[in-house]
Amino acid sequence: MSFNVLIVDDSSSMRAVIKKTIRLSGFDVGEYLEAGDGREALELLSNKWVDLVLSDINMPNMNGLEFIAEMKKNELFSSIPVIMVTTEGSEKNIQESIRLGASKYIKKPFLPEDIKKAMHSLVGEEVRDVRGDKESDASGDF
Amino acid sequence: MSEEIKKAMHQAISDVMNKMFFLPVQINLKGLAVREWFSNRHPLIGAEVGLTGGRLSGYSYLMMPGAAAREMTANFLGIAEKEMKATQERDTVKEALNMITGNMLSQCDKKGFLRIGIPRLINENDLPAGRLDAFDKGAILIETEHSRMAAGIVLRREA
Repeated sequence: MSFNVLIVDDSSSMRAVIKKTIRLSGFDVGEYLEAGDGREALELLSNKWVDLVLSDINMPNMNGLEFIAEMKKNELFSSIPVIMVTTEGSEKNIQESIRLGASKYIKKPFLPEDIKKAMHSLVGEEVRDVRGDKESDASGDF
Repeated sequence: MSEEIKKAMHQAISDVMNKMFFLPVQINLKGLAVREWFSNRHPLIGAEVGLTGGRLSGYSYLMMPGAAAREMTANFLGIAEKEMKATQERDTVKEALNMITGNMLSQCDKKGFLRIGIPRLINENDLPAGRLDAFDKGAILIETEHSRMAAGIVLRREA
């Protein structure tokens, strides 16, 4: 069964790279939705069905931490898993993400396998192995 | 720039350029000024991002000729240079700096004392006179197979 993915990042290039990475990993994605900041993402969540969110932290208008906080307050969206894909690798930000309800974090720069592995554990989807399944320490469970 | 920050910056540049842009890099240690480093006078583009935390403030930057930005963008997005839009090129340069700065801080600022702002684009032509020379302070000079870049971080402590 296909699922919809929302990618939240103020860099359109990074959104394109994440999208391409997911596509090449062989996940059965129905629709890719994109938002440039937390506000846009909340608007999209109100109008579209989303099964999984990948979000940056450092964004204008509403950052990724504020976005998850708002998202988790709303019972319609609170159960949607969130993967943080971010340059913000400090323990403080990671702990704050956990507290707010993020399920996984991936530090930029990442390898395609990091996204694949994190998504696989959350959506439980069988994947077509395009590039192997090399372990990497760039992603982690909370 | 302290030795610890310089080492972290070298590591961050190498990690980001290799993993995300498929560009092996070498750090040049000749100690040239940024202006000398880009002596062929092709117009430079780049990005800077503010850093703040307590009484510290400053910025990090990344500068390169247009050709290097195009090569980096083509590798990042997996598209041919002729298909590339100027917005994608600018966005990629900003994202590269964002990743380098974040990676560097995650090595030497584990408690998250410094906050990263939103990267903004800088064109050499828009820089006030002498601004390029201000980048010399602690500039890291980077060589790729086909081009050159410069990056650095400038931090000030308020009195």
